[in-house]
Amino acid sequence: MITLSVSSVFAYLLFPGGLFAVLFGLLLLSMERITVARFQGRVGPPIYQNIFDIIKLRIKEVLIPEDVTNKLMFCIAPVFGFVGMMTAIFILPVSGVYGGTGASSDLIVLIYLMALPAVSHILGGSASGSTYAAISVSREVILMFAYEISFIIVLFTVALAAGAGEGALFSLKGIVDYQVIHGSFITDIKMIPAFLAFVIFMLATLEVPPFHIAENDGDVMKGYLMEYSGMPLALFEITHALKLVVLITVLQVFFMPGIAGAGIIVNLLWFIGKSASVVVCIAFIHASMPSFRVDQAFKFLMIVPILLSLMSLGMVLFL
Amino acid sequence: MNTAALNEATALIQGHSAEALHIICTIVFVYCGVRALFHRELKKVLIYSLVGLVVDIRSLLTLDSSLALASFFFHVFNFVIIVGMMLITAKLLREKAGSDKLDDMRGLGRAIPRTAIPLAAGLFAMMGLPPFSAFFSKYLMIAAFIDSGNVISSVLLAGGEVLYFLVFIRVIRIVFLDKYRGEALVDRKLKDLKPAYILLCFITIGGLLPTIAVQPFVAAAGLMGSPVTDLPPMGISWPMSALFLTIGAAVVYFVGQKSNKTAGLLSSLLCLLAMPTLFFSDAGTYGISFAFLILFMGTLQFIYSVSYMEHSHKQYRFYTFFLLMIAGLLGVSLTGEIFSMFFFWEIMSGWIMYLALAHEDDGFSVQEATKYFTFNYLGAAFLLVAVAVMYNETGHWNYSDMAANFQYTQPAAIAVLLLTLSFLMKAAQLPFRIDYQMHPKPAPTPISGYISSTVLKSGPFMMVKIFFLATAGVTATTLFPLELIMHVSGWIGAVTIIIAASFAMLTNSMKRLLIFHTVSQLGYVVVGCSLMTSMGLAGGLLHFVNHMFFKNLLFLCAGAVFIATGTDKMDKLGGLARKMPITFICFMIGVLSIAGVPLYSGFVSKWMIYHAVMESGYIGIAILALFGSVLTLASFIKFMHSAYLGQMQDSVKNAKEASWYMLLPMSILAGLSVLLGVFPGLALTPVNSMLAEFNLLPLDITLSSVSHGADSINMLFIASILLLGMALAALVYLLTKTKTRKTHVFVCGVGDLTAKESYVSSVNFYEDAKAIIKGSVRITKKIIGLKGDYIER
Repeated sequence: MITLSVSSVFAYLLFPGGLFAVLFGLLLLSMERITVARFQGRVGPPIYQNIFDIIKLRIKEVLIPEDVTNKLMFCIAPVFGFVGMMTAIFILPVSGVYGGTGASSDLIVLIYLMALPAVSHILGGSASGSTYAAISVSREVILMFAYEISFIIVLFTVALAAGAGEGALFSLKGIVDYQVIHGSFITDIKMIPAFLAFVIFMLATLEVPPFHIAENDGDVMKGYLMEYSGMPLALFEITHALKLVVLITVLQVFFMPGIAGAGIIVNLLWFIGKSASVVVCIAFIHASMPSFRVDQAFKFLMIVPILLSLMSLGMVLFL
Repeated sequence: MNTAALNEATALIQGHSAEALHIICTIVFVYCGVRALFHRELKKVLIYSLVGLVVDIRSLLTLDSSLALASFFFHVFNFVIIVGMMLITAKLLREKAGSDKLDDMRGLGRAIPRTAIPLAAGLFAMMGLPPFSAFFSKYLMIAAFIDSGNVISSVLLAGGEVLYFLVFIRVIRIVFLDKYRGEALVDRKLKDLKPAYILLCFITIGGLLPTIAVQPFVAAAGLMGSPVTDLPPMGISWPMSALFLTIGAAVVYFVGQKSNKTAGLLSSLLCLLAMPTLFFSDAGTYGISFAFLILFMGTLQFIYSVSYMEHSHKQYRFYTFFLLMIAGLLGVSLTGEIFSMFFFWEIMSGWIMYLALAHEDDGFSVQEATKYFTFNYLGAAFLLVAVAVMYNETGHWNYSDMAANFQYTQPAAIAVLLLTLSFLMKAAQLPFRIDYQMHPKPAPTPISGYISSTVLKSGPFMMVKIFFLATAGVTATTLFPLELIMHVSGWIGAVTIIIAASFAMLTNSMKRLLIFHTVSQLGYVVVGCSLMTSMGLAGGLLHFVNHMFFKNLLFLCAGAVFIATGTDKMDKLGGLARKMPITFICFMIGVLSIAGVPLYSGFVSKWMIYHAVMESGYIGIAILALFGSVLTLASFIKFMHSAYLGQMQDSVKNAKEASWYMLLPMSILAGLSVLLGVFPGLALTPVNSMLAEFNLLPLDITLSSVSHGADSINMLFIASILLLGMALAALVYLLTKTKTRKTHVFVCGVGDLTAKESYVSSVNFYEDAKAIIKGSVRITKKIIGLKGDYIER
């Protein structure tokens, strides 16, 4: 049985989870904003902008609408996503830097934890009693319904590939170790379709264009976030930053966990470098794509990523 | 003339005459059944069905064995007594109704119950349901067929009786369950009823003491031909708790007439008192644990019913039938003999269940209950044949002796197949015709919740037992059919998860949504149990327990909403969370459990099932099962949003929080769902000893952790890091001491929207996803012939 040792509390609160992940995520978000701005010929905000946004929200007053159906649910909804992401970043290994938690650091646990931010959007939006929020909740669930399928298939593909013909390997650490020895999956032609499917899944979960649908400013006015202000809103923003870090880490665990050297510092810099380049790629897609309508996005997600991931699954199973 | 040619011709004629007789008999059988089904006069209906059934039984005489002869005598004798009893009653009813037309007898059974009861009992006895003697003679008939090696014709025989079942159920619906519209009538004096009741006593005693009742006919068969040597023993071993509850049900029937509260609390107390008797049972951990859960859920259900049934009618009747059903289920779980199991199975899913389900007595609930009863009857017909084959193959009723003598022969493989089929039917797998396969929506919610959460578990429960019984007698070379059966049932479970969950996305009724999800979750149990590995079986059984708690919780919450608002339609509700906060919290715990969110029950069991499925290499099943969880979450978000959250609708303005009788069971179940989510070891410890009973390697478990091979999970660890996160979030909230202000929802300056206009109803929630599901459902509907918007309503 695992006890909560000092080192794991440290890992949870400061590094690589907790404070480090939050700051890293916020910086990545700012970086994405800057990159998009540059692509569009603007200057963009300073790199610390998102951190300042959170600090600013701390002193703002909290507005609670009277029509809220359940005040308790309205206030605790942001906590679900926050807790889920904090736990996810804690159990995820960072190759060469942090080994995860060993037991319980498992793909199935990861799926459920990664669904929690969406659950918190849904609960919060639904409890706020706003019609805009209700519409955005319905859109979020439709998208979730579509992208989760491809995520599940990608996940099993990775587990089978890492199991190397001897059943599936569910341990996250095991997947990283396998790739460190046998080479990253991104260099494997069989896994390329799964990688593309995962990138599409990532875009859809992060709600960047072309999947900027559920919290679109244009028609649903930030949707589920509409009635939130002050500290609860800040919690949602922090969760968003953590979600970005989690997704990028999962991407690296699944497809490119290669290490740069022996030292922790080198590997950490390598991790940060890989993450930053992934964010730049995301920003490029963000800047160059218009957004889908919800039905188009649903159809796209039901066809393209699922076919891609099934292709990989087939190749892993039969080649 | 050549004698050889003559002999040949005679033999030819004789051979063909037997065939011709068969064809004529079949025609008469079908003709009589159809005539009886559409005839308007009660007496003719009874006579036609007697003739048809006796002609059917006549085929026993072709078997040329003394067992067949004895069962022929016994069966015909039973039928003659039953029909005689019914004809006497029909005459009395005719005098009251003024004619022999069924139309004139509509609802007559309600107006003069004392006079009419022998007719109802007779009709149920003709169907071959316990506790009447025809149950045993029907079994003997099937056993005689199987003894002569005619397995297929015995399946046809048992299946063919469904035609006559429809005849009898039609009469019951018209005479007993329709509304009575005539003037008030006075029941007959007891003196006039004596003959009918004496005959009723006769067949009931015959049903309770079958071994004695059959003796004269065995003797008669012995006189005519050779003595019967291979008569299967037909004694029923009554578990103590089942007997206790049966007697208790009778007490409730008489004492409970005083008030609803007395009856409900008395029934609850009876369930509680029956628990200690389990200590004296020798059924092994597997059976006793199930029996304990049965009684525990029963206790909660009756406390809830005190408040729920308050505005219903004749509650004591409902409680009596409910208790008898529980007694039947206890019998199934505790008895060590497969024939007794079948006897209790028929009590559990036979006429007792039917009358309890049709309690509300309106047209819709009777119609739906009849459909479910029909489906159960068909399932039991397969079970009957399978049970008889199992005895014929092994020569024992006892599970352990059976396993010791089990050989893989062709009939045995057919028997295992039929058993699996009927247990899957009980668990309503492949829910294409949900209206037949699952318990009806308009039944009282306590019993719906109980059937969903507990009674249907008898399917997977028995399936596991049979798989292990079959595995025990199997050598490696002959493993093939069993492996195939388990393989197919695993896939059926996986497909069911998806079908049922996507149907649930479409529906607009609270209870039907829950009913679909019952099927879907039972799919997980079936998948886990079909694997027959330690991890799979443990996961399946843990889900078996978890599902019991959270599904019942969800049903009870839906029932509380129904009582508070009077509607079952989700788009008529909205904003209930403000009116019923405790119900809402319980409901949320149920939703988080069924979706399998960590910290709530349902997560660990699903985790174990996924791991076990992958361990056995079923990648397709794993993907379907995981995707089923997403669908589950999505359809419950629709439920949550449109019933509890969103704008408050007019229909819920006057809603009040449920009474304490309802909230108590709900909070207990919610507490258990959380407790088992963090400490799965509480339920896994008994599961581990069951694994040992089934000769599987036990899992490595502690109170909060499970590990098997390389896979391990520690819920306490996950719980503590999740709680740490919550503490962090709470700290963030507490540290920011800014003031809060009350405002109104921002609507972009539109001031004149009513709550109804700004409400996103459940119908419009998932339009795009629904379009795809509807498209595929349309094709299925064409194939299976389900008309209209049955699912969507």
